[in-house]
Amino acid sequence: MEGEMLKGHLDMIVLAALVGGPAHGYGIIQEIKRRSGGALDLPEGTIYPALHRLEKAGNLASHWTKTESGRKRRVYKMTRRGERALSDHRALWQRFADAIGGLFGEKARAPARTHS
Amino acid sequence: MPLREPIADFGSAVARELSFDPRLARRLRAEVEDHLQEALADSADPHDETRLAEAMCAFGDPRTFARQFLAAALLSLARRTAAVTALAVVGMFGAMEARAVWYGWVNWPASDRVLAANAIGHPVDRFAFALAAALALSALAYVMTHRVPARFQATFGWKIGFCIKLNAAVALALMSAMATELVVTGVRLFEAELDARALVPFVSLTLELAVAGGSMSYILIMMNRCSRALRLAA
Repeated sequence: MEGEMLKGHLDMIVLAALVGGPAHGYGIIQEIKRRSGGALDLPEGTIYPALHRLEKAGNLASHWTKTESGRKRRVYKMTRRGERALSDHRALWQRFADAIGGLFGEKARAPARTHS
Repeated sequence: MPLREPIADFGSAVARELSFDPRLARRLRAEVEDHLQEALADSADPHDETRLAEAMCAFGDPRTFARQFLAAALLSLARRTAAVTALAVVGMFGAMEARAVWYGWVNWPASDRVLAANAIGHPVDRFAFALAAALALSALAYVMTHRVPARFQATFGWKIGFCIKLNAAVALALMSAMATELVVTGVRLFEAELDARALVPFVSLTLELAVAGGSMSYILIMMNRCSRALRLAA
């Protein structure tokens, strides 16, 4: 998917990936890839700044855990505020998608009307 | 652990770029290293150098990656500095007032020399302190009303640099107030009999000295970190 199309939606994508429960950075990227059917393969270089930004905004909370091998791992989870932000964004997205869908539908029908 | 060295090198490179914020540097280093280890563990071959190179490539160049945290880190640094400076102003005000209240409480006698020292010292002290308080409030309001920009811009860096300098001006004003207080209280203590009553002025003055010196040291450290951070933006 075009990177330009994702601009402005990255935070929502990250929040949506955490709906299923807390996850670490790598897990979030894998979840986004899995749930988008491989269409969204976001680079790590964009995910981590988004995670930190969302945490500063209070939409995410994070804490350290230890992996089985003893490695430090930062795990992120959505806060109530994050849930509200995601819900608002989802409603906005739905309105936008409906509007664009309608527009494309009209466009598709328009030439047919012209030639009839 | 397979390919530990290149992963550690990459983590160190990220941490080095973010050395102006040690806590952020430590955190991102651990996150990046864990991520790369996980990416390798997820591949069929844990010694797959190509997979590791791909994962590193997805992070981008450590400097470019680190730069994405710059704006938020700089604003956080400026906010911490402004908060510490404001606390220093409140702390010094508390110590100064405690001393004044104590003199009245114990009916501390004021000789002609003390009165003369007060006549010169107090206006200087009050002016320096009022200036410090006004500048500290301005700096605090300045950073609290600013938001992290989506992308770091030179003007944002300049504003943060200005804010840190504003805090340095607060610390200088506090040091001036402190120096005046030291002279005025010194004259008072020199003339009085050193008994238990002198404990409060002595302790409050020591506290003021610690607060003024501590805040100045903190601001100098923050100025240094800010200039290191701005070098990352260049």
